[in-house]
Amino acid sequence: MVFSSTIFVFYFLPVVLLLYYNLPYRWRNPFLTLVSYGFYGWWKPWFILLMLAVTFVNYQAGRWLVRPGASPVNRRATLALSCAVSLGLLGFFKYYMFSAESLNVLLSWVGLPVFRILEVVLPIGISFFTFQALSYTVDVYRGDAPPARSFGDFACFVALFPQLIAGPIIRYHTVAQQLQTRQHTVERFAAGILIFSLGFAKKVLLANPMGEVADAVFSAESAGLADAWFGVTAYAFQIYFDFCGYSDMAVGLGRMFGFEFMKNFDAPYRAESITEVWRRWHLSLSTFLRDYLYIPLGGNRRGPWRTYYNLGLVMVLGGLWHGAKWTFVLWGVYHGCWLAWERWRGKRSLWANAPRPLRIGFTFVLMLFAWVLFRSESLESAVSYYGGMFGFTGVGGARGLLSAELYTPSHLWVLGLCVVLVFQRRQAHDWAAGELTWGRVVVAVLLLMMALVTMFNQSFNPFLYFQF
Amino acid sequence: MRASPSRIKAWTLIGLFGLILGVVPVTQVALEWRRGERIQAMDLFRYAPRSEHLRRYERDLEARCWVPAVTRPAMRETWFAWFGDPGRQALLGRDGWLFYRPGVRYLVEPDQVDTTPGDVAWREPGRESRRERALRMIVEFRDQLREREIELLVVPVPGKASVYPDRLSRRYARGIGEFRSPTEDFIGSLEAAGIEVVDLFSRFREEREKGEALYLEQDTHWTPLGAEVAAESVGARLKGLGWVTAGTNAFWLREVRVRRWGDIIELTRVSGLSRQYPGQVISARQVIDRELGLLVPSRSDRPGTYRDPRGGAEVLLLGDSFSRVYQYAEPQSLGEATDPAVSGLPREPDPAVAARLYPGSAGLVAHLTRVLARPVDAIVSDGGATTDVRRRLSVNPEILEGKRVVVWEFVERDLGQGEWAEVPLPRELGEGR
Repeated sequence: MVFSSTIFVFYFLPVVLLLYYNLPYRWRNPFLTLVSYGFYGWWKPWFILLMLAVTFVNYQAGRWLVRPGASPVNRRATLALSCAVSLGLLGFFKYYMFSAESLNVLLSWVGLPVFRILEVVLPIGISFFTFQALSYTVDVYRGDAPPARSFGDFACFVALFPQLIAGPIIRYHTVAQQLQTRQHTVERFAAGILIFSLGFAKKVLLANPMGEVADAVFSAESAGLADAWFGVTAYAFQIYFDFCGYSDMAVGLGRMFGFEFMKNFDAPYRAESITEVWRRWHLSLSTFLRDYLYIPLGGNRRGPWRTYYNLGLVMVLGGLWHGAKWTFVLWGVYHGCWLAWERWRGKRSLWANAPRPLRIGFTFVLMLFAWVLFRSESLESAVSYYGGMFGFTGVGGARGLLSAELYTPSHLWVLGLCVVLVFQRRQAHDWAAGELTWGRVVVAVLLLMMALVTMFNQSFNPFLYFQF
Repeated sequence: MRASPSRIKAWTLIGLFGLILGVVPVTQVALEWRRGERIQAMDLFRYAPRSEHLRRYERDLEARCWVPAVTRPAMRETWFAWFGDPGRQALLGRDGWLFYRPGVRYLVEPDQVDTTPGDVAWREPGRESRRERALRMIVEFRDQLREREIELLVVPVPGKASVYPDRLSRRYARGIGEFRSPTEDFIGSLEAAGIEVVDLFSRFREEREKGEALYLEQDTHWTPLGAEVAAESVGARLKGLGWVTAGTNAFWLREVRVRRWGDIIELTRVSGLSRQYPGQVISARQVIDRELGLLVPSRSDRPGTYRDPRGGAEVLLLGDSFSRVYQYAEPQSLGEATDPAVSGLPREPDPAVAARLYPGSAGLVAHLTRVLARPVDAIVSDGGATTDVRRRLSVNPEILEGKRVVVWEFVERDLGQGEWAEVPLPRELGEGR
């Protein structure tokens, strides 16, 4: 189920809220778990079994880890088993096809016959809930988090529908207390509505129109110079407003149910270096990778070269986490190289001495190059796209027609609005965090109504981070 | 105790939020109840919770929701008024020309490989792309016809944007010399596979230089002149190949005018566009047979199948709306005759059919009949030239009796977007019945 759908907004959410607030407190977590499973199984009911398996394995691992008398060896074995099962499932569903296809490419290169591949549909949100469940086991192993009070609480943590399929990735220790006791106040609920409405508007009013442009360009056989830049800029805005909008909706829904989730974005396109980008983009993933991968690898404690290696490796794995394609691997390599380079320069970008607008501009352009890899279906199409960005494609063939689809007044207006919104100082999340005023009430209601009416009339409504 | 101002604001926001979320389902249920219909939201519990049921439930819920019906027209009009945006189906070109977006998408997108539907499935290596599949289907169809000693001539029709790219994009304003449709490469593949093809792309480019439009401004289809040029190209090719010799039927031509509203305007449903473009008046040349009058058969018991009343046609034309337009009765009212109907014809058409002719007997079939001076039978299906016409042929193979040639016309975007299903022709006449 997606948030920007009729079934969610007008049926699932109101019914769930009504029932939730009419239940005794002790039944609220089990109820949330139940409806979250319903929410998850809406796409493919059998995926529920998958999530249940990951939940059970990690919950059981947590119990074994704190069992009285558990030896270090047993504890390590338990952790390894839990990781193996969780990552094994993730690996099969997410990386099996990629590995098999890559092997086929290798076989065809050496002239051997290729084999048929079992196509497996990717369960939505598997990367998110697997990482969440795994973080619990690791936190309990490290002693950073207490074991879950009950299977019900833990299942609620893994399945919690507001952030289940596109994050933010929440860590058990950040919500452990909230699972036991949390406050449901009118002010918190209203703050939730405010940020949910903003997120909804970002998704429907900004991300979707920009997505139309990006899809038109990236699905074209080849794009000319201006079209290619226009397309990748539109994609940069689409992915930001799509994902940030979804995160805002998740945070808002969380508040409606009494939870407090972390902010996932902090004006990433205002970053002045790639290092800063990763302090602003998808914060729940970057902190996850930092705490569970970068620091265990040694972080920056083992000398500069090991630091560069760790940065590179973390980013490559971060790329692979997003998807099983060579384009994602290269996207990780690209970011890893820039991070290492900036680390070598003392966390300073190449243009650290330029005026601030230029620093932001250069960093944004660097991100655009990375988004080409992120969005392209294959390496060949990414290379072709880069060719377009550097003017290596003319207007031959039929590619000149693309411009008729792109430069429409509505697309240009939305693009202009996106530019204003992403580069301005005060971000929507900060605006929503302020005191509730009549102005904010009116803006939130108007935005929600506009977005809902638009949603009813949009045929283009994907959620990008579902595929991850 | 009085509530604090912040609580009042919070309650106001919650109340409005609840109202917005509640008004849609409550009104929907009330409307369904009032109309005596089943409460659709409750359908969730009627079927087992399987993926396909849930998808269908969600789709139905959205389709029957009252909000889009109320808001969509206003949204379309507002978007058009503010941004000149004609919606998802159309693209606004230059000088009042409108283009069908899927047709333009076909031109800019690469050939694609379709993915396998379903949760888990084996994927065979080396899957064919859409155009490869189209090529295979055409070759198979040619082979099936050859078994009956019938030849196949393929006629891919250029989309409007292939002939008038400069009317859509300023990038071709200085000349369309660089423009090339992917279909032109496909024609090369057909020829390499031994398929006879009529290349209308080059022919239309030559013809457009003469100045008279070959396509309608707000419609996806060609003008009557475009249909005539196509018919002449096909006729010349058939004669050149020696597959058909010139017959002896005699015709006269009558110039009539009709007003066409444009199917793209109809698709967009933007009244602002209808007001801006109140129809295009065009001239068409009706082909009138000295014995039969208009070459418009009476209603057939087989929809989409049109047989020349004289019988003995050696040519069967399979085609889509490009074959139907100006020729047969229109399924929708997209035109009107501006000149009085022809009187004193040897035979008057069925009045029910005549009322929907705009103008009739002036399309591809009539002009091909004129060029060949021989009767031509046709199976026509709007948007169904790739598969539907072959299905109709397979259940009605008797029409192939006495045929020497099948002319297969389809619009080029069908190579990327059409259904290219396998349709075996029955080996014996009558098997398909």
